[in-house]
Amino acid sequence: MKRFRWDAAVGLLGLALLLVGSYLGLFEAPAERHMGDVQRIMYVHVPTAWNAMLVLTAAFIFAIASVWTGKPKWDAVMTGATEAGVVMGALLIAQGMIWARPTWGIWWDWDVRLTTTLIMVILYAGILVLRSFVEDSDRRATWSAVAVIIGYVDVPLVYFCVRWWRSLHQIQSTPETVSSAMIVPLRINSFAILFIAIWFVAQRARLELARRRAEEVAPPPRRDRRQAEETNP
Amino acid sequence: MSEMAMPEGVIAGGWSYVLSAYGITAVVFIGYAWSLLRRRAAVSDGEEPK
Amino acid sequence: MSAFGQIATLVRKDLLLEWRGRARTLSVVLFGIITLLLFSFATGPDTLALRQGAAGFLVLALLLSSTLALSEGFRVEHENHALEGLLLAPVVPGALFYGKAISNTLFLILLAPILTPVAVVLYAVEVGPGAFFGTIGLWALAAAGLSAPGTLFAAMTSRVRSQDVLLPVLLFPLVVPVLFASVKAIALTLSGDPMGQLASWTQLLVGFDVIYWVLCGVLFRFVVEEGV
Repeated sequence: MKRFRWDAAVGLLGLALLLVGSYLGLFEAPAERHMGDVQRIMYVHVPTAWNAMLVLTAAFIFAIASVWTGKPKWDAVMTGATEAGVVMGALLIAQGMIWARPTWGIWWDWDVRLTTTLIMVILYAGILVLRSFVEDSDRRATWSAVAVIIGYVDVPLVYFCVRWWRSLHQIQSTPETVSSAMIVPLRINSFAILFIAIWFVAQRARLELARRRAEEVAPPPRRDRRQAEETNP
Repeated sequence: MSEMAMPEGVIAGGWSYVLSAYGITAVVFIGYAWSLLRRRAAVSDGEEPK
Repeated sequence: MSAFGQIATLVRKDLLLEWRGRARTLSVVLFGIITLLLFSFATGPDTLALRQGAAGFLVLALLLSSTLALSEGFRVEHENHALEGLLLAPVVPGALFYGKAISNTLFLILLAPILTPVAVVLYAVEVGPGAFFGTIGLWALAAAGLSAPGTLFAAMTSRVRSQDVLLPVLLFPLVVPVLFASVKAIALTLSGDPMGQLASWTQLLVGFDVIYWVLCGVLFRFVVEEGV
C-alpha cells in the first residue's frame, strides 16, 4: 500500500490549489459592487457547480462504456463519478442556500438551477441506493448504468420544465465588469476542485474494485443460496 | 446559524455567510475523503486477496 | 410471430390477468380515491385552495397509484419464473418491454374515468364535457410518461429486497418533467387557459412520452439480459 499513486498526487495538488485560490478569493479579490463580500462565496460555489456537472457527465460516459463493454473497471469509475456527483451536488445546494439567504433574503427559492440540482441529487442518490440493494455484481453494474443513462438524459428535461414553470422569475443578473482579480481565484479553484474530484472518483473506483474482488473470494450468502437452488431444483 | 442579528443591507457585512460557505465546503470535502479512506481500509483489512 | 404480434399477445395476456385479479385492480382504484380524499383533508376545507390544487392532486393520485400497479406487474412475472419462460419462447426483449409498458399504461388510463369525477366532486371544480375529456386525455399522456420508466425500473426493483421503497425512490425524481407538464396542462384545462399555454404544455408532455418510450425501450434489453 506504500506505492506512489498518481491520484494521490493529483488530490494533493488540488488541495494546495484550493487553499491558494480560496485565499485569493477571500482576501485579495475586490468586493463586488452590489453584493459586497457575500459575493466571495462565488469563488467556491461556481467551481463546485461546474465540476459537479462535469463529474456527472463523466458518469454518463462511463455508464455507456460499462453497458457496452461489461468491464468492471467502467462500473467502478461510474460508481465513483456518481457518488462524487451526489456529494458535490449536495454541497452545491448547501452553498447556494448560504448565498441565497443574504442576497435574496430566503434560504430556498424555487429557482431553476436550485430546483434542478435538488432533483438531480435525489435522482442520483436513488441510483446509489439501488446499487446497495443488488447483490449480484454484474446485475448491479448493468442496472445502475442504465439508471445513470436515463437520469442524465432527464436532467435537462427537468431544467427546461422548471424554467417554463417559473417563467415569471427574473433571470439572475451577472456582474457587468469582471476584473482579473476575480477571474484568477475562480479559475484556480475550478482546477483545484476538478483535481479533488478526480481523486474522489479514483479512490471510490479503487474501493469498488476491491469490494468486487472481495465478493469473488467470498460471495454473500444470499446469492450462494439462490445459485444452489437454481443448480439443483 | 452563527449569529442572531443579521445585517439587513445587502452590501455591508455577510462575512459569516462567506465563512460558513467555505467552512461547509471544507467539512464536506474532508468528510468525504475520510469516508473513502476508511471504507477502503475496511475492505483491505477484511479479505484483500493479494 | 412479428414483434407487433408479440406485443399484442403480451398486452392481451396482461389485461386478462388483470381481469382475473379484479380484487387487486379494485384495491388500486380504492387507493387512488383515498389519496384524493387525503389531499383534501391536508389542504383543509378551503374550496378555493382545493380547486387550485385539483390538477396537482389528481396527478399525484395517479403517480402514487402507479407504483402499486407497476411493481405488481413484474412480481407476477417472477413468480414461477414466467419471465424466463417468455424470453425462452422466444419473445424479443423490446416486445416484452412495450407489451408491459402498454398494459401498464392502459391500466393507469382505466383509473381516469373513476378518479377524475371523484376529484371534480371533492374539489368543487366546475367542468364541462370538453374539459372533462381533455383531462382524461392528458391523464392518458401522463400515464404513458410514467409507465415507460416505471416498467423499466420495476423490472429491476421487482427482483431486489425492499422493492416497495426502491421503485418510488428511483421513479419519482425521474418523472418530475412529466409531473410538471401534466399538472400544468390539466390545471389549464380545468380552470381555463387565458394565455393559450395549454398547447405548448401538451406538446411538451407528448415530447417527454416519446423520449421515455424510445430510451427505455432501447435500454430494457440490458436489464433483462443480465441473468434473469
